[in-house]
Amino acid sequence: MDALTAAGATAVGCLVGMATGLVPGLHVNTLCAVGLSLAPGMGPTLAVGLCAMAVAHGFASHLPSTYLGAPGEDTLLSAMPAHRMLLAGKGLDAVQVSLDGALAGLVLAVALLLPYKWVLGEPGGLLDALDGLMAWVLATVLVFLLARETRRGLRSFLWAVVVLALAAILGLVAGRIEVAALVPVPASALLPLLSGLFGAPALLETLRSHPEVPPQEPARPPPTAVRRRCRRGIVSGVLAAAMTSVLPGMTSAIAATAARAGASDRAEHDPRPVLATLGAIGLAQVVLAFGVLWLSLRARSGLAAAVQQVWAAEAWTLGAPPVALRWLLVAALGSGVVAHLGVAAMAGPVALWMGRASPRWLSASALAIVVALVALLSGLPGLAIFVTATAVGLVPAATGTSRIHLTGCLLVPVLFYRLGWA
Amino acid sequence: MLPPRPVLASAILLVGGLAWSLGSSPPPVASLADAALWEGQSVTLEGWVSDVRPAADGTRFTLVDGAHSVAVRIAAAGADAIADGPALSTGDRVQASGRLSRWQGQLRLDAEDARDVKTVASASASAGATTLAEVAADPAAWQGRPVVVRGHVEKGRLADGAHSVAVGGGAWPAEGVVQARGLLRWDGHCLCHRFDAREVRPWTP
Repeated sequence: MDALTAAGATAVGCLVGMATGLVPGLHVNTLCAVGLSLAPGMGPTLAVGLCAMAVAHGFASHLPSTYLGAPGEDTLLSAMPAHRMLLAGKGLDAVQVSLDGALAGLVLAVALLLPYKWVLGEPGGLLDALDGLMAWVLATVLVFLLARETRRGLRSFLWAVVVLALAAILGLVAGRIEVAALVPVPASALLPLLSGLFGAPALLETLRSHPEVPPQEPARPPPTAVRRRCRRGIVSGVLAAAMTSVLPGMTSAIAATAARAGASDRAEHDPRPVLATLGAIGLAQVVLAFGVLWLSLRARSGLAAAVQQVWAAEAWTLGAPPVALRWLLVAALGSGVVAHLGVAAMAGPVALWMGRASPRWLSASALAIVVALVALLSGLPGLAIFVTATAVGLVPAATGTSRIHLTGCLLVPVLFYRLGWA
Repeated sequence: MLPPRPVLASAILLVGGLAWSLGSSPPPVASLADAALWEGQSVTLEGWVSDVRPAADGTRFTLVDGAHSVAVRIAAAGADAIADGPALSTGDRVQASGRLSRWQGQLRLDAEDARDVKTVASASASAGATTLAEVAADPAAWQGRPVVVRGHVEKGRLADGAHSVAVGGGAWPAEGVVQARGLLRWDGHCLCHRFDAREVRPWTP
């Protein structure tokens, strides 16, 4: 691959990612599947393009995730940090701190890739050690998630168990349902499952509760103390992403929980450190999943699996990263810088437009797009999974339970697979 | 707040309904050419058995059909049951059911049990007569498929007029006109296709 081809693929991928990131509910795994089916013979050029697209998508997706799905007053306490800031007129601050966290996480993850290799591969040998203990590690994560709820009382703990069990059963069932796209791309039950559990409930909540979104204030730099907590959050986010990138079934929500495990209650009053942590985790996971792919030849993300199909990965055992990995890192950094600037520039006009548009109309449109995507990419069985997952996804909001327990839909099936039960 | 009880009841009802709808529906049958579209799902694939070998974690073989192939693994516990069932041999036409995943970049079907691999036709029964001209025109399409061909063996090649193929394993004579039953396989050493014979007998035109 020559530099010009790589630059062209990065530019195209970046532009596509910035556009697709604005579409609510459109996951980067779906885009990779579409990319593979549209241009199967493009090999490394496609891999670089997909990498740039995934990174830019990660940046742009902070706009819909901040501006859509805000809850009403009665469920404000269970609102996501970005929605809390939106309802306080600080949506632009939320987007900016998320973007800054994402860029810092991306750069830090690239910088840490070599030490990461030393820990996972030679001489650390953590990958081999983890392989034999994977079932125990996953079980420990599940226990950790439930144990956190005991702080909020027995009732919260029991609701958490119910939500986790429902999500787990749904994950096990959905994995056995035959889904087929209406267009010739690989179908996956994950799209309706995750869109239903995590995407649709927030949009339905906006439709139900008529949130009052105030005019948004211009973005201001956070105070020094908050900036310091943001920096700490980014570092802990990247470290948490490094831990969870090795394990199957781990989402960024679990990484965020791990990263915030030691955070003080004082920090919770200002959501910006949480947003910076979340932003850093999302982008760090993109880079670190490549590291795991080249070290273990196992894909731990949809993007890594797509890249593996078009660019044969050879084990990274000694010295500097392999050439293919270096190209992907350069594409990720290039696309990240451009997407950071581009999305930051878009945030102002989007906030102005949001001030004029009705949140209910926006949420209804977003929900219609998600339903259409699910129908197109996973057919009628996918819609059945989506409806069921949406019902399960509404349980945390109705019971005041953390949505993190919905990740049981991935964790438990992977644990069962590791134990040979599924 | 949403009312917790109705929401929970709806969720339980829908999850139960979805689980019940699964019932005992068999996995869909897909061709090896379309296998990639079923990645991550349970599916039945049909093809010719090639490269059967025992491994520490079970029995492994490759399903081939023309230029397409998918590795199949029968888990160690399930593979024990093979002794009780029909043994797999190269060239059998089989249907294998299991979860299709990607392992080190290659598609792999994980069958839980030997009963998930059903023989559609044995290698001897499914061997079709063809000509070397047809095989030589598109060798990739014939790979792994049991065939009966006739030709003249000379200098390590089986020839018929202008068409020839390298001979592989089997009781090949040094020279002579023969009818051979066997399989075409790709040989990475000579970067060519070789014909492995199960049975070679003299033939008189």
